[in-house]
Amino acid sequence: MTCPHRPSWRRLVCLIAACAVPVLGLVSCRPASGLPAPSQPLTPTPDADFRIHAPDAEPRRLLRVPSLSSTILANGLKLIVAEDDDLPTVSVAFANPLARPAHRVPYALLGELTLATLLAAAKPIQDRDESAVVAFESAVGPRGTRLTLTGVAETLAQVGEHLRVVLLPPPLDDLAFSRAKATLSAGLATSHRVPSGMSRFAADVLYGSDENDQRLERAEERGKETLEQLSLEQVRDYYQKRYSPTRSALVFAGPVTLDEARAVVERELGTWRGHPQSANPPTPRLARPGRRLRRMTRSTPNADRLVVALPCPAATSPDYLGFELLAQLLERVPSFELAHTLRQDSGLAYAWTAHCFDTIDERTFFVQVETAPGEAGLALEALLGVFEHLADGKLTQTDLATARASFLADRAAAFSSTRGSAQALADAFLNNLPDDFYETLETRVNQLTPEALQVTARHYLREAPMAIVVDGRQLALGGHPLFQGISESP
Amino acid sequence: MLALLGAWLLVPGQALAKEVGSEQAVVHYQLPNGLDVVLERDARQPRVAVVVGYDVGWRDDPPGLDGLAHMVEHLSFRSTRHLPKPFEAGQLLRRAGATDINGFTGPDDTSYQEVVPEGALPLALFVESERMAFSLERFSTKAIELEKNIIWREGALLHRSPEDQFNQDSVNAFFGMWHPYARGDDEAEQLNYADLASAQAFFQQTYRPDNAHLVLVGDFQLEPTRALIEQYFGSIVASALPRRAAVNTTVTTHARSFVRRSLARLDELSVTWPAPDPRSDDGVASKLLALQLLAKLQDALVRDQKLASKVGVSLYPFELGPMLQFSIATEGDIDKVLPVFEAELGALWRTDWPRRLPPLRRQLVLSEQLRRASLIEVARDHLESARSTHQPYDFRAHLTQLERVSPARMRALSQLYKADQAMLGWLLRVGGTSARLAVTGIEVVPR
Repeated sequence: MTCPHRPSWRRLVCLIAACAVPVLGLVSCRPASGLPAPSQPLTPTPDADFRIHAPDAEPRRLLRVPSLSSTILANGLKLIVAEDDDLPTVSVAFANPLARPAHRVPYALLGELTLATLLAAAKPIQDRDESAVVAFESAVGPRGTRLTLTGVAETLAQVGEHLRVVLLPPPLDDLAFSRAKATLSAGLATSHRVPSGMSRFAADVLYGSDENDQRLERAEERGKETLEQLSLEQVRDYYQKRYSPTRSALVFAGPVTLDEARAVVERELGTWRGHPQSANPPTPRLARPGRRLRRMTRSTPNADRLVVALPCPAATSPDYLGFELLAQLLERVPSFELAHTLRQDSGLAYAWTAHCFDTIDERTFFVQVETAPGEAGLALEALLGVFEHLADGKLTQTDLATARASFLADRAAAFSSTRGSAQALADAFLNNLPDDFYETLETRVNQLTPEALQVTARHYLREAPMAIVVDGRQLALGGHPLFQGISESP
Repeated sequence: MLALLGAWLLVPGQALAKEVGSEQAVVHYQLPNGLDVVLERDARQPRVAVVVGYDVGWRDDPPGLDGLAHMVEHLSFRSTRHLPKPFEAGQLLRRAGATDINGFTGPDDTSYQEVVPEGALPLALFVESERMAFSLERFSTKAIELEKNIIWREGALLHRSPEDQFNQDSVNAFFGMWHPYARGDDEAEQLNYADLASAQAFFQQTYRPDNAHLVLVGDFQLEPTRALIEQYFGSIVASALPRRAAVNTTVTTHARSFVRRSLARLDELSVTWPAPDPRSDDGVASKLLALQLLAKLQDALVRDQKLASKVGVSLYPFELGPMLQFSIATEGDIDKVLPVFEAELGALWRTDWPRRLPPLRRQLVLSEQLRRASLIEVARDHLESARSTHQPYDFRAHLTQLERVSPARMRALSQLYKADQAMLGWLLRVGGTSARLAVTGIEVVPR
């Protein structure tokens, strides 16, 4: 009589029953799970010759970019159209590089508050017109403001009307302003911004800052306090100076031609004029040389966290694509192989991400790893080993093909929807990329060689500054040579 | 547009292959071994979403072995007879440019997915057929011990935030602690009792072609793909063990309220009702009602009265009892939120439905089209529909059903969603101000 698979209370009941009537043998403790014994053979499916080798993936085209066309309207507004007749929605993205965040605390959230006020002012008008429903998405980042509207394909005209109501609003009043503040404030309370707080700290270590730093990052941490300092007059002034058709772009995506889009825009925004005041862009901080290690003081009960931050090339840099492929390798290929070491054999590292982000400073690459308590040091050692591996030129053609496919897969996902297409093209505009950036992307990616990536890896992964932030309890940083000379601060 | 709204065709068995025309956007058939197959061609990108779903979820965990379904899902990733290196299948897929590689153990089903370049579709089918037919023999005691550790850490790292625990509290309180959906804090302890034999038997009862669905959505050629499916999956033989019987516990009771006191960032109130089947007319009407109430709550609680930071709504499609849940998070005084919620709920039944229904319908259609921009989401719609109705998902029929929702039906919903019939959940920050903070740990008040 055995009682396997039992939680404690059931096991107790079973044992009591077993002891009470053992002689009679009337009570039999069947396995609590009720599972039968596995049947034999374990694998009844017959084997076959075709299973001996996994089929190879055939190299084919990996990205389909919709047909692109563009023009500049009389008021200076650039119009870009990504025509795709198979999609059931239509999206319009407004891209404004001048409406980017100020980099000093008093004005840090002014760009977001202005856009929120425009949307709040427009909402009552939109609510009155229930003939079409349009989804709004807004983003204010270091490269500017992007506002995306999406409706079902048949509502192109109404999408255009909604766009006009937002960009050419009624006078911005206190009601819209207070509603915008409430909405934005609530969003700040619940959002988990990227980069995360720990990454932001890593950026501070990389670029250098102190507790009195008044830059955007600090302002966002004190979001509500910052918002309270802003006035409606500042919002109106920001709108007047930064919102203008010149230097802005509208991207249409979906079953729409250039002529149709132009007709909508000329009808709704043809009278829009403006002469923006060109604000000086914030001066980016440059990374401090060398490698710096910091431990965070907060304690995490279940895991160690590790963030590595280093500068990465801007979208206009010749190194951009090469680094993006390295990032793919770091996130997807070695992380998977590291997973073999770090996770699968030991249950060590679970979450692992590696991405470049637009920040107010240089563009910054963050690798984030979550590990079991006390094991962040091993993960760091493994990660730095991969950096060396790439810089030493041990990249194979197979690795490169993987990185290419993975990089292009992300773009293919974006171009699967009108929203993704419009946003990708708007971001290209905000980053000053050429109009044919996506049309030529696959060709340019395929031209990259292992040698070119090795040069990029040496420059950015081996020779460039680096910040390492570890948050954990029992750090075991190991004896990797690269740890030598890293300064440690409390 | 045609790809999304196209017709589907049921083809029972391979004998009717000649009836499958290339014009059909969606094709549905079963292999002789019982595998249910749904194929939808969608050429927006040269990629294919591959989803394999098994009709087994955590509700089917054997008594005393909570977490076994999740563990078997993990074990099936490790290796197979013909892909014997650790995690070789995943590496091959990644090297081929696959994304969205993942496995999910849900309350009612377990599914595996990847999105691959069209040239890697044979590899993806090979990998999934290996999982179904040849992964069991690679299970080992060592692998089980490693996965116990990994699952514990997965839970510790990803699923144990106060908000996640509060969500599980909702399920436990709603269904009752003895319901198969309920999960206690001792899942890791229970998994310690899992052994090789139990994992093997559970796999044999559930990971089998007559308990599975294969869904492909993307840019592929129909006939060659059908031939590949036949090659890789047609020869798979189910275990001699009988299929595991589905758990079908009905929902008879749920709690009136519960409270969790925790180290959360924000206080949270959840309001939960039993909901109709999401595919029924009342289920569709409930979605429209949820959109209307959500908009009113956002305006009142977030924008105007500034009482809340966030308002959300979810319709959980649990097969043994769907539930509709609103959640409101606040940095402020949580005790002031409920009266506003009740006032907005009361006002809901005075809505001018003839005027509001058309824009609500359009809003729902748009949100579903935005979601279905992802190939995986389209595939998951088919999987869910195939599991519950034995038919592929028909978006056009869904639109027709939406048009059928009448003002009278919306008014009739007032009988389903009464304030005094809701279950209330309170997640309270330590150091918050709610009068309910006298509660320590979790307190459940039965109905």
